[in-house]
Amino acid sequence: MVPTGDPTLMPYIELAADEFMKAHPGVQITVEPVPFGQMVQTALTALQNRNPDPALIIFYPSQASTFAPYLMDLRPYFNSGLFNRSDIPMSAMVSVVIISKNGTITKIFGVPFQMVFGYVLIYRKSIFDNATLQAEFKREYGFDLNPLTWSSWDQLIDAAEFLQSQHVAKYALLFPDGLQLAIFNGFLTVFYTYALNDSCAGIPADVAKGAVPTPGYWAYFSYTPSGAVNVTIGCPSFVQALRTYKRLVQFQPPIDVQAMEYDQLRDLFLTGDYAMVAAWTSFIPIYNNASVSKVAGDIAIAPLPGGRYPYGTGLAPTFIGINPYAKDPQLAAEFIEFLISPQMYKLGAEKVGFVPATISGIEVAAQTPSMSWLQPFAPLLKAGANVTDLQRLTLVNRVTNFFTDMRPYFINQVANYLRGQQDAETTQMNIYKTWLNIMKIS
Amino acid sequence: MRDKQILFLALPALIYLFALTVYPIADNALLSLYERTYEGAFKWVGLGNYLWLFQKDPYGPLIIGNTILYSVATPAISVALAVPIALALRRLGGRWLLPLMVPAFIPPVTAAMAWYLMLNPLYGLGYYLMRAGLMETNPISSVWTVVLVDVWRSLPTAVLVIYSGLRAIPKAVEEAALADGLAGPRKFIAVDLPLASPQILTAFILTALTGFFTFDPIYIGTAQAGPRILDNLAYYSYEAFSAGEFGYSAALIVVMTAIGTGLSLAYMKAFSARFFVKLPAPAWMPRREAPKALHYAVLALDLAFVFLPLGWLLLMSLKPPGEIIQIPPSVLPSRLDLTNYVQALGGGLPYFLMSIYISAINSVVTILLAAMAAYQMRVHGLGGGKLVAYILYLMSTPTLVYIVPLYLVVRGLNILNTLWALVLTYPIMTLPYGIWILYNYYSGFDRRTEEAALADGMSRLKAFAKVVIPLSRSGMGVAGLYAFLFSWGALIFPLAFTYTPYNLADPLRFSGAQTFSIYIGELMSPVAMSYGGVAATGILSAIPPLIYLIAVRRNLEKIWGAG
Amino acid sequence: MLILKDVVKTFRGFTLRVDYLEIPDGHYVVVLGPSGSGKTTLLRLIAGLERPDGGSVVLDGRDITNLPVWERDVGIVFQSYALYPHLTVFDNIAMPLKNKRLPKPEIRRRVEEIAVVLNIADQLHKYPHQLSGGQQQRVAIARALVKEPKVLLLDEPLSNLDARLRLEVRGFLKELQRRLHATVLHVTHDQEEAMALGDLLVVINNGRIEQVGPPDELYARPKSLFVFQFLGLSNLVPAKLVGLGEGLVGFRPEDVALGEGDHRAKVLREEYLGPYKLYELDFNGVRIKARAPPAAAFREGDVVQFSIDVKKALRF
Repeated sequence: MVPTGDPTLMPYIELAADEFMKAHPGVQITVEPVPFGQMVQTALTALQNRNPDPALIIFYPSQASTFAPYLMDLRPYFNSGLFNRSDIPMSAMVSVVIISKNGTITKIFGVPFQMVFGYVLIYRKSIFDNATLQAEFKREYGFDLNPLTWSSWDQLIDAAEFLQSQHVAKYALLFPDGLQLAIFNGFLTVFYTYALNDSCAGIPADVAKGAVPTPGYWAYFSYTPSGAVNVTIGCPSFVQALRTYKRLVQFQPPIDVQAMEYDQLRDLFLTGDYAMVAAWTSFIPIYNNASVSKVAGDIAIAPLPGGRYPYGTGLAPTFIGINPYAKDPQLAAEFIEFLISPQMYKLGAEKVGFVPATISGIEVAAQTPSMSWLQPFAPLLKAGANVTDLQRLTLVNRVTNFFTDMRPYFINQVANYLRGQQDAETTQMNIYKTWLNIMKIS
Repeated sequence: MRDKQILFLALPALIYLFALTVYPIADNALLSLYERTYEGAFKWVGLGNYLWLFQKDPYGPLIIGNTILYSVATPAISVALAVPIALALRRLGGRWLLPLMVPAFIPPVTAAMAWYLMLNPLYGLGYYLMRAGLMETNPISSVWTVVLVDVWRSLPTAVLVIYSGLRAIPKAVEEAALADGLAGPRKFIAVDLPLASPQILTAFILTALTGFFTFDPIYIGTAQAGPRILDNLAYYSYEAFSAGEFGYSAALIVVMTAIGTGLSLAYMKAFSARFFVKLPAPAWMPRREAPKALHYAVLALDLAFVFLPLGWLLLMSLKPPGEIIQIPPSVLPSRLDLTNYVQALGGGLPYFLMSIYISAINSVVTILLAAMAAYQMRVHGLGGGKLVAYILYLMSTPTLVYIVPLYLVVRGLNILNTLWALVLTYPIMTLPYGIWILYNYYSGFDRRTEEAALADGMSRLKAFAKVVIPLSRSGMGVAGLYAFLFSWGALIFPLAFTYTPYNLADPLRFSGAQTFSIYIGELMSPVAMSYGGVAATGILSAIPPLIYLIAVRRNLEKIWGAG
Repeated sequence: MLILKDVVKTFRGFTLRVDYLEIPDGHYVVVLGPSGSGKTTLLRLIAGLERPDGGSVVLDGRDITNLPVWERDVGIVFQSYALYPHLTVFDNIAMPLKNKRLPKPEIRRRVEEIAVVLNIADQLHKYPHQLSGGQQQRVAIARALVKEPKVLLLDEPLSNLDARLRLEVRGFLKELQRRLHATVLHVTHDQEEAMALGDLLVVINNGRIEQVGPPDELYARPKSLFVFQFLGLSNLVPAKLVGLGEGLVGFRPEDVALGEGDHRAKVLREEYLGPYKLYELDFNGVRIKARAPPAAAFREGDVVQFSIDVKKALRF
């Protein structure tokens, strides 16, 4: 089962399927495309009713907890070495790992095979390469107009203010504040960088050892000394992040007029009205499609808030899991291994612009000329490889109503803040109290 | 001694309904007492889900409030607007009814999309409204916009029913009123309004159902309003189901059905208690008829209300793809571009065909079964009030309840993902409503024709087939129309029971059975990137129901004339 | 007094024409005619439910031709009674008064008064669907009378009733009219009812008034063949057969004496009606009816002699 909607995913799967069938004559692979909105229903009905098809199920992190109980445990394949653990950053695995209360891994139910980085900063080369603007900016603000050199949100906001005053585009910055999901992910991107320096949040980061987990929802939860679960909402970095977030979204139409969700981030930047956008790397092929995009060929990519640590950019892997009732699980596993092999990734990068999920894969893909923008992201991925505090990283998986109850409340509160209906402290207090009240831990 | 053949005729419909509805409903009630654990097992929580809804869920009370708001505001507004429009129709002629009926025959998702695109502050007329200062925020984020879209969709039904009621007032009573000095607005308040009360009530309950089950405007507006803000219980239960929270979803459905049944029972009670709308007619009320110009003005406003969003949708579908997302938005397309239609038809053909097949088949099946059951219920009193109550109860039960049990049945019969899966399951959606429509219709039916046929030596079966059915044509036409509409726009059943589009390479095997509604849903998902495609598909999706509407236009009024 | 002058009404290929019609006060007037004759149209023109294409309607010197229904001072009782189902009997009757803006106590008094007259005083709190057909009719009459109209119009009031009730209500209506000294215009197609009730008959056919006059005059001295044949039973034979020259001769069954006379006819059928028998005979190819005493013993197939009272015969 393959979700539709991602322009590189289906082609890559079909490519891999073709190659696999060539290498394994007699094997038949059929692709079942499913729209995003129907993924859960289609897969769940099949899994709950012990249908052998589809044998392989592709899913996203937001759906992982729903599928967790039904997919096959893949630890045997990791243990046997069919899947190379060390090549896959732990940060990319957190959604598909189930950990018992004492910290042992009890199940792994998916393998990340595609990486999407988000949010990243995508900006107009023609604007940022302009020598006059560069000189003017350096004069006024004292640092380079080059996102790859930035390391703070303040720098990004300064650049946006500058570009807005210069009227180089209708709007300087398009930042996600959409009410379905974008606001949730967008805020996290900002919060994380502050949380890294906030002892209250207790992020398990050891910069010296190069072990910085990439941002994820896990950052909202921590253990108290007695072992209970607490939320990091009450930390000072949270309020700080709220304020910065509000400044970031000031350069676009207000949230009341148009909330910037997935669709808008994709469509509005195409019009050429914006100088910068915080978007997903999966949009890159679309932005470069000259038949619909006015900014084709004019884009450059950097992590957020800039090319230097700390990074707010997170990982959004696409996972693949095995149906426990599939006719031939071993064959399915072999296909997965094929899917994440460096050779296949190289082919994918060259032919369809596919972004791999393994460290070796990223390095191989970054060598393809059309995918050279991946280079700044390799260290990001590597940093997440050595992370050890698995318990902390998977704590969020134990919160069973995280997506169903807690996220909607969070979104509405932050939206109220952005609309100016309440101040930052009230927003923080509301979320803190309600989260603690309704949290369901398994 | 009850004539066995009476029971026999109604049996197919009744067996079908009981077999396929009682178990899922009971099962759902049971399921609401469990919670799904992290590991996927079901844990008994007793009333835990209900307690959660009312006490801990931050949005529980809001969502219940929304449900009630949609179920009450929509009918109140629809009926209030329908009355002057029905009066205008009575004055200006019933031929204006046809264009006014159009919104009821637009699939709900298309209706919601049309309003969304039109009000959009960046791509739609909303842009100009904002510039003119008439609008400050994106209106699609308000619960009242949901009500607006629902009113738009349900107003035609209200107008039709109330118009029929006005026309059903006996001419003699109208003349007696004249003799008594009642004319114009005074007569309207003293005579027309009370005598049309049964139809006003009926219009109220029908439009309340639209509001109660409303889904698509919420789906579209949530992106701007925020999660849960617009939700009603129907939408929330679907969300819970999609998130795997089957126990909670079941509990929401139980609560929802309770509210819906409460509404239906209130309606039944008011109906049988011969409730009349009685307003005081103070002596200063004028007797002179309102000028025709006023009626024309009302009619013109309604026509504008009906056709603005559709017009915008049509314009959008004809614009070249790039032009749609330009700001400021153009009103008229710079040139007529059929790309959107080509794309919609090209990709959508299998879905379109499948929808036509199932809608046609299901309409026929539904009206036959419904007629057989409704006639026995109305004319021979089969099942009494309890059966009618159960039918009403089914009408306020969301189809979500049936998915899991029916999936097992469909899979067991090995017809999953084929046309037959849909043929088997669709009547659950349409049969209760069809029975209810025909039940109303048969209240004005003369049973002596059946008795004459029996006297001529026909068995009841034969009498029914040869005499009753041909005479029921107008009622069956209308019941069929609604069955067609529901089938055409259905989304939940095809989502559950199909997973690939109709395989045109092997048409007679009917394998692959995704419907047009699924196709529209796909177009609205990310990376489809075509508001134009959505608009074109929307326009296309409206065509078959509209054709059917035009075919049965003469019969529309007769259905509600009785009673 | 109600006068219709030069009234013309045309619709759907049918024209009603009344050159002059005078309805005197305090009379029970019956408008009699077959279906489609225009009698209901006549009623509706007087009521104001239709407007004439030409001519005038004058009531007590006041030209009401173009007045709306409620300003005409006429009361109407519809064939279907047309009561307001959502109002009590009291409110039904009170409706015309409410619209005249009479004070409440006055309304109450008049409604109760008329209810007593019509024998429904104990039904005032009920709803129409709770009443019998006869009671409903009386409510309709009360509603028409409560505003003390100059003319009371009755549209086929007995047609919906069964035979027994018909006789009862027939008597009731006449008594009511006498008691109130009302001017009543009663439309019907039933000639027996018309003759029994009417002080004055207006016979109408095909849109024209055939004859106006008291029942006995119309019965004994009909001015047209239509009136002759429409009222009561009649016989029409060519004058030659009875030796009276050209044309046709009409005579009533009761003016035929069976058993002796110059003419002969064959008995076809006999009907025993209680007070007398009615025989149908074949008289040289023409069928005639004759009355005979209950004891008459002619049998089917007999050839009998009979005579006609020529003084009462009519020539056409």
